[in-house]
Amino acid sequence: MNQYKVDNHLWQLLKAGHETALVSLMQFHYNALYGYGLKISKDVEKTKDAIQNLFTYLWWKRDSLGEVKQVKSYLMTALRHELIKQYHKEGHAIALNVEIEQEPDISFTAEEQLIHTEHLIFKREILVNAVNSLPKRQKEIIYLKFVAELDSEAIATIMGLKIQSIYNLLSEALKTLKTLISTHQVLG
Amino acid sequence: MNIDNNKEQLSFEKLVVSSSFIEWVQHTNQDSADYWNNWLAVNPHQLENIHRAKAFLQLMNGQKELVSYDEIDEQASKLLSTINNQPGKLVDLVPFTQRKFWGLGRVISAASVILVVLATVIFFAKNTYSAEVLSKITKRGERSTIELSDGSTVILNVDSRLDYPREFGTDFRVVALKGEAVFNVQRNERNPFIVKTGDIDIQVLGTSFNISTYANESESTVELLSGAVMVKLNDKEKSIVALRPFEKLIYDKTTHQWKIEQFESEDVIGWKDGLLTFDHTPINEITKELERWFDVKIITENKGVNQQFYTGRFQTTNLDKIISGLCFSWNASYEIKGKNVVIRFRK
Repeated sequence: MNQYKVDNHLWQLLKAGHETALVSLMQFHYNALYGYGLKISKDVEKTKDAIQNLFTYLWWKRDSLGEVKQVKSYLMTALRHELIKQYHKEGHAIALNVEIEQEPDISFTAEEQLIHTEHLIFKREILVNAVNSLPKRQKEIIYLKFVAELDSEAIATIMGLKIQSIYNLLSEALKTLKTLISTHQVLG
Repeated sequence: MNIDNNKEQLSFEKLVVSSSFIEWVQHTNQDSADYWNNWLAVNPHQLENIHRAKAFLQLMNGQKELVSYDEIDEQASKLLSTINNQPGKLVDLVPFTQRKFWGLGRVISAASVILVVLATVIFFAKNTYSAEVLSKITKRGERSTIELSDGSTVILNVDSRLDYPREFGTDFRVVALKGEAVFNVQRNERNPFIVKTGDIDIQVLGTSFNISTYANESESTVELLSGAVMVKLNDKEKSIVALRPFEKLIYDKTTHQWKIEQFESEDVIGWKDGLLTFDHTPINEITKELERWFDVKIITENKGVNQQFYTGRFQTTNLDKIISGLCFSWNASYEIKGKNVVIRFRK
């Protein structure tokens, strides 16, 4: 049985009031939620708290939960909302004329040992800087596609965009990246 | 795969979304690795291009967060205490070991299987020094809940028997079952829990599952609700099968064939809440089940050559209601006299 089916079973059990189903859902998706949450909040404790809140909320609302197509993308969407909500609560928009943040700003980091291949060492700063220089939405798509390894439909759900926009933004992002990194030589 | 005449420039955008290319970078598939290594040998002019794409995917891989199992369990307990409003309550915690089957693939599954083989061997070696063994036997029509010394609970269905030690030892927690039971096992990795039946042995870490091994049934089944179990079969190969939640192992005691199916949780463990569920179940299985539940003898007359089935769910408090419901759907008449039930089909 694949994870998708297991998720749907667990979702039904959760709606029927089984604690174990709630806990299993948390366990199965903890890594994905934590990784994504950390990229959004950049704070370990805030991320953990948000995940706790999310599942506590699911439990209290279990009677009124609807059917969801993909549990994982539902959970990630909910976490994204929760973190954006917290961000506002903490008064990041202090000045009245500051535009309210609707999109998380994800930044990628690199560890030294990751970016060297057999004979060539790629200048990792160039690569990381290139990815980080992309517009917010494109960075989030890159994260959801290549790190969270989600399909375009799930990414569209999470970001509240149309699938076609996801395709366009992704292709734009990859083209930009290619240009940015191909002007730099791969170092021997 | 056609490598030699593949002279086209593979663009960065195409490479990073190619699943075989990703497999090569992540070392998850030997075929993909062979393919891309050969491809690179034939297309050396594409080396830089390939390395850019590879470096990008490696950077992405490096962004993944892996939270330790302990940390995740801690978060799960915290969640449970929040929703139960009882700080420190640690019930029903599903062990996290099951993730290994999904996340890390075959290597880890194989390692787990080896672990079980070893564990089982040690168990058989140590079993001769067992402590005082208690037995709980349920008659037809009777059910019982047993609490074991480690806090695990067993709900014993009708016409079943559980042998268990008064106190579990310091190594393996071993019980023996005949019949059917739902186990809720307290998690403890250091003392694996083993259920022995004549035909299959089930080893668990901490989990909830149902086992049915009635002697007069041709099949034994294990249904896993949560957690992870390993089932050791008594077939020629002494197969060891790992189950995921909502998977059901069906083992044919005569042919020693086995298969895994999926199930709906309510269908299987409904009995512990006093529900009997039939899903296209043939009449002879239904009558056997009812005989066990109500301690009666059921005779069917004029059944004919066509097998009768029934799909539906009953509360197990009233035999009369169940029989009348079945007979209504089969267009049959019935008679209940004391411990004897006769179902008469129309000729």
